[in-house]
Amino acid sequence: MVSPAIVLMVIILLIPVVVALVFSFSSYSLGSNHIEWVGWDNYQRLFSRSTYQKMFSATLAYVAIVVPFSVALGLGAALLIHSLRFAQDFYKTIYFLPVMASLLAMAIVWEFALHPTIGIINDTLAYACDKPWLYNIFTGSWYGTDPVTSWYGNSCERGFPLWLGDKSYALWTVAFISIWQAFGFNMVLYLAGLSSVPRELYHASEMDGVSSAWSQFWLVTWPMLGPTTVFVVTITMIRSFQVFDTVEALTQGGPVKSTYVMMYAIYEKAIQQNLVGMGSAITIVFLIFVMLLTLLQHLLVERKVHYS
Amino acid sequence: MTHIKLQKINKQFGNTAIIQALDLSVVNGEFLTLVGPSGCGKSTLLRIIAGLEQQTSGHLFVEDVPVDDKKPSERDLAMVFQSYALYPHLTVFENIATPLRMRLLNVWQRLPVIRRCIPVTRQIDKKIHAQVTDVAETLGLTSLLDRKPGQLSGGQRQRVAVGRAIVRQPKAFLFDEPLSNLDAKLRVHMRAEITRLHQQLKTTFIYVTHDQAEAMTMSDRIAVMMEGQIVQVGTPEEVYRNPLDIRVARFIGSPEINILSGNIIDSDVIHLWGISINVPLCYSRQDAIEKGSAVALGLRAENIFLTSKNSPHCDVHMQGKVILVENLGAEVFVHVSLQRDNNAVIMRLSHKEAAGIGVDQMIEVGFLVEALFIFDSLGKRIDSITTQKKGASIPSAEINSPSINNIERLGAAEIASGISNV
Repeated sequence: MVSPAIVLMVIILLIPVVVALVFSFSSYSLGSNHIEWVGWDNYQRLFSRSTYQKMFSATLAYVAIVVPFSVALGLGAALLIHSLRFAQDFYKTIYFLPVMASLLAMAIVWEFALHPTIGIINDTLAYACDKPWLYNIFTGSWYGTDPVTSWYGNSCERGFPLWLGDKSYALWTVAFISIWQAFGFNMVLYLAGLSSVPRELYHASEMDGVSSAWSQFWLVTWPMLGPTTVFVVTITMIRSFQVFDTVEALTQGGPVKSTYVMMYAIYEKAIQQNLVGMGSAITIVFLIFVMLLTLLQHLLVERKVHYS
Repeated sequence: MTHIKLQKINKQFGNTAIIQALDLSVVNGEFLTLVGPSGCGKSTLLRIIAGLEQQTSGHLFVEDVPVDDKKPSERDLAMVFQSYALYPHLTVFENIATPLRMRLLNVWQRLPVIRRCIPVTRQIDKKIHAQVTDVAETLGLTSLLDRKPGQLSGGQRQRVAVGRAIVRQPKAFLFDEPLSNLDAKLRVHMRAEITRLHQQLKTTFIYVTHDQAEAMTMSDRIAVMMEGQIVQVGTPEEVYRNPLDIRVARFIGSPEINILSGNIIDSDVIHLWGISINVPLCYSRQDAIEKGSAVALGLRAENIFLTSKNSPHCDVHMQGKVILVENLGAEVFVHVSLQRDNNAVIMRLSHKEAAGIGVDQMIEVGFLVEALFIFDSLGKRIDSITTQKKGASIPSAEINSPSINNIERLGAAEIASGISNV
């Protein structure tokens, strides 16, 4: 008699992975009534074509930007809110609202805000273009450089960047929107972790000669937040690998495949272009990636974390 | 010489006054215990001394220097917490080294990689290492230096906490109920250890506990705190043999003192269950000598004797029924109902004296009048306190009790005759 949990796990988790693995060696399309085996062709394409190289670099760059920033911002917000004596709930609400809001709806709002000509972001940035003293501050001409060569001065002349349409800005913009949306969640997790730090440790550290907030953070807070940090980093990393909504709504993998993340690539290949074989190959590579990263994190970080 | 002085310390949390106009002087090098029931404010007072809480008003001096504005890290005091508060992620060595590292190394010298680039760091590290191993040897922790607190027993953790306090050689040590989390046997052992440590270090120890046995066995002086005020300060001997307040008499001593209810029927005459007792009384308030006013008579368990057996000549004799016999091995506590009061009195008898006494047996008991403590209706001591009578000295001048101040003013002759014109 096999236990129900194993049965469920096999059906829901393992069998689909095996099916994807099988399809990745074929050029199957949904709806066709025969399978053509192509062997390692899909994988060969995956590791040689430039499109897929861009896919890997976009995904890794995206994760490398989003994870540190959203963890750090979450921790910073939690520390600040934890130290407040009143209005704690007010700030918690403000920072958690983006998490609760529908990501697709928010993405569309951001799309409007980031519009190059009618969007509020560029409008606000352009506000200082004709105010001389502000213009001088932002362009850095107060320490002697030619204002037109600075980023701000240049943008005033030529127009502010196309945040979602320019290949050097698009990924950062999408990452920014994700960080904005995600750090509230990390903040809540860190707040829970902070309240579990025993207060007497802070008193003991004061008696031991800790006088600055930084020393106290390094000696007491950060080590006690170890388990929370492991959890937050893991969750954030998994979620950032799974990014899809913002890319699909805002950039569709463009411009020039600069935001062509793996999830979007799977969707495009397997669903839009009905190349299930290719889509499955990308899925398997994605799975291996996530497994490797989790393993790496487990080996490097978890050993050092203290679980009391 | 006064080492630590508290002057009119007040502490309020919202509208509740936890500590009220408290004065206390701690002599250099002494072991002072702050003892009292739970909730009396002794831990709060200790934290005020440490600087972890700020007093609402009042002043605190350490070696005659006001420290009210100083942070805990600047007061040069060390504290051992009830829950030990060891850093769980650091080894025993690192825990003990932390106070030294915080004070001897600056921020850069404490950072993991950069510290190697600063040349002086190595020397300071060696110094710290030497001091920590020294302290570890004193406390018997040398074999445990690489373990984390989670891998230690309660007693070992407590020693690490003490080590962390000692290593800095501070001006005074503050102990906040350090033995509360230990089992009874270990507690008795650690009491002796801490006393030995005090003799070795000769530094001021301020020790907070709710256990009167710890206070009695370990201290040079005891300060009994009740409801935010210090009721009596004195040596254990003074506090035990000469309590100035009924609350002190009840709190100190195990088993609890027997309290009998009586009346004043004349000056210097007390009526107890139909028996008239002549006791010289000193009053500080006029209404205390009113005829009929109630008084409480305190009588310690060891001062009640079995008059039918080998007892000294007693002033007062009574009959009573045994309702409970508690055998502790070397001694026996016999609970006797004297049929006049609702509470039974407890007698402390030796094993031999108690032989043959059973429950429901009628026995004859007696006591000497000079063993009585007389307290008025407000709980203040009103029988005279002279050295000849009770074998105790008049306590030191730090007492707030008005009756003691009045007795000092009365003068020796008046005390002896027991008449007061107040």
